[in-house]
Amino acid sequence: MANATANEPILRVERLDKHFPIAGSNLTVQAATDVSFTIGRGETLGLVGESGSGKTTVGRCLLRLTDPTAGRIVFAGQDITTLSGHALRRLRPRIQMVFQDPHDSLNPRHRIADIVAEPLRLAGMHDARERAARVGELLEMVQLRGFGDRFPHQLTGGQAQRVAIARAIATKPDLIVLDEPTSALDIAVRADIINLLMRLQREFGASYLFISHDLTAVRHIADRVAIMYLGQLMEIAPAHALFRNQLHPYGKALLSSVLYPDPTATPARFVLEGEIPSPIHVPPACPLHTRCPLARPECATIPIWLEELAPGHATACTRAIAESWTTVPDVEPVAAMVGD
Amino acid sequence: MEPLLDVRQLTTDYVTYAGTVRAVDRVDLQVFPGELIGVVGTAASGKSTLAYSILNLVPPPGRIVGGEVWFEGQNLLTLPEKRLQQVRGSRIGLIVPDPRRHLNPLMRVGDQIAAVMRAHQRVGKATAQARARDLIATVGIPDPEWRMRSYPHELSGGMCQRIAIAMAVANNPNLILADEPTAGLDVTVQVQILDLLRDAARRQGSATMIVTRDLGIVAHYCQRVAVMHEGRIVEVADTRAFFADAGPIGQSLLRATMLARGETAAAPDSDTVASARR
Repeated sequence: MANATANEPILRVERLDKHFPIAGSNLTVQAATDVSFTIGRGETLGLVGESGSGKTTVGRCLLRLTDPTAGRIVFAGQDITTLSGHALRRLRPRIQMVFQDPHDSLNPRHRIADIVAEPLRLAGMHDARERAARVGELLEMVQLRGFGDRFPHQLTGGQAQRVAIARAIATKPDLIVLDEPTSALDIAVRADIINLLMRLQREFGASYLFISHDLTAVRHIADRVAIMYLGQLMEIAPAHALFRNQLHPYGKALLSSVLYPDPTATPARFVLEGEIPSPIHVPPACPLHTRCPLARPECATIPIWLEELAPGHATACTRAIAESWTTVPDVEPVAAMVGD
Repeated sequence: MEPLLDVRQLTTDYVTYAGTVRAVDRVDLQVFPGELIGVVGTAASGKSTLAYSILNLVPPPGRIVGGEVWFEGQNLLTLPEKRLQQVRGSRIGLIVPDPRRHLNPLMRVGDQIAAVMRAHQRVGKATAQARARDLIATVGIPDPEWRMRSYPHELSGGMCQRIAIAMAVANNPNLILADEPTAGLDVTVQVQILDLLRDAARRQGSATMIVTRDLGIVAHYCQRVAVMHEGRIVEVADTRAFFADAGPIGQSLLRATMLARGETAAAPDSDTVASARR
């Protein structure tokens, strides 16, 4: 998985913006702002952040399910930002998506075999017998042999999600966007799905964008992790490096909030003040400055950018860059702040 | 120590056309004053039904078919409805998942908290309102004077859960039942809510039973843990002892949580039970 990063990335996102206008006003929901990242061939990029941080919007932009306001999406060397019609349809088999709620994303009136066959038919596999054979293979891969004649409502959540995965891998895509694929599932089923996804990746070498707020799952499956806050990337790093050490206060706050099932592990709690602001009124400059315990006055004025402070480990924290942090310091005592 | 809550052989069935499912099966469980106990299990293990059975609040087609629930010297299952209502919301507070759906959408949140107090205590409108405002401040919502006049849809999920906690503790209950109190909340909000729940319980000396699938919550907030599987309590242990050496069901839950390799014994079971329920 890791050695694939040396090659040309399968996906390059450059300065992506997605702002949804609000009817009857000049305001916009700034779902994604200036987002740039790459995904290597066979690599899994975890995209994490709180609800409302814009993770899903970014995923939907990659599939052109929604059109970006600005920026470029380059897939396998081709700019796909403005593809339409026939060219866009030709792209579809190569980028697939798995949604959060499997029962919502499967047509309730189609049988499982038809659901899995549909992308094959659309991709030009017109021979019914060939299609049926391939559907059989796919159902076998997701351990649902013999489920072809059933309807979605006859399946449990975990089984339905496996159907959605079979449908996603049917056309052997280069990239699969997995949008919270396990958050609607029970914990035991979640483990099955994660392990299935990892096994399929080893067999087919597809790249994953794994969108999730389940940080334990991300740590398990992702090669690299990108952290979003209010539509902007705060930190991006190899997974093992990020879970060991963070270079952005938001990353530290997020990771120190994870409750690991181990009563002896008591990480230093790094708490942000209040709650995430509305993406309609994103604070200027660093969007975190209104909640960050380490914020300085300049955090509210200097625009942010991502800079690599350790190999592959980039942060958007102005202070971290200015002071060349090797880690996020603990919150300073109040007395020290008075002197500033 | 005398238990505060003593559940004996509690049994609850769901009677459906497809057959009867025994969701809670001869459960014995004791909760002691002031303690935080976690009830864990996979989906469909009966943990939520247990919580609602304690309050005799199982929604149909569920039916309590046996057992006793002793709380403050009385068996809640044989109490007349009127007496039971004096216990619910007053001596025992309940916190449900997804509070926004359980708050009254047409009522200001301050009024909802005040109504809970006025249902159980002799307090005037103005006093109840003033106490509601204090409670809103206690649960960490800034600007309580203004926020108490908000409707639930104007608040975030985290804030609604804070309001729900304020309602649950409004009458100083001796026991708080919290069913997945942080489901659907972000991790940074989750720890704030759990800290709040723990501190509120500690301040009043209330015992708290947290029903959850999340062993991380148990590890960091509960002193004891009870593991449910297919309607039965299969293990009760001190938290540290549980994480050091859990029984087979506890082990499989732990492995699933950590996404560790190996058999996740609970997986096929919960899948089958879930499909039988549909």
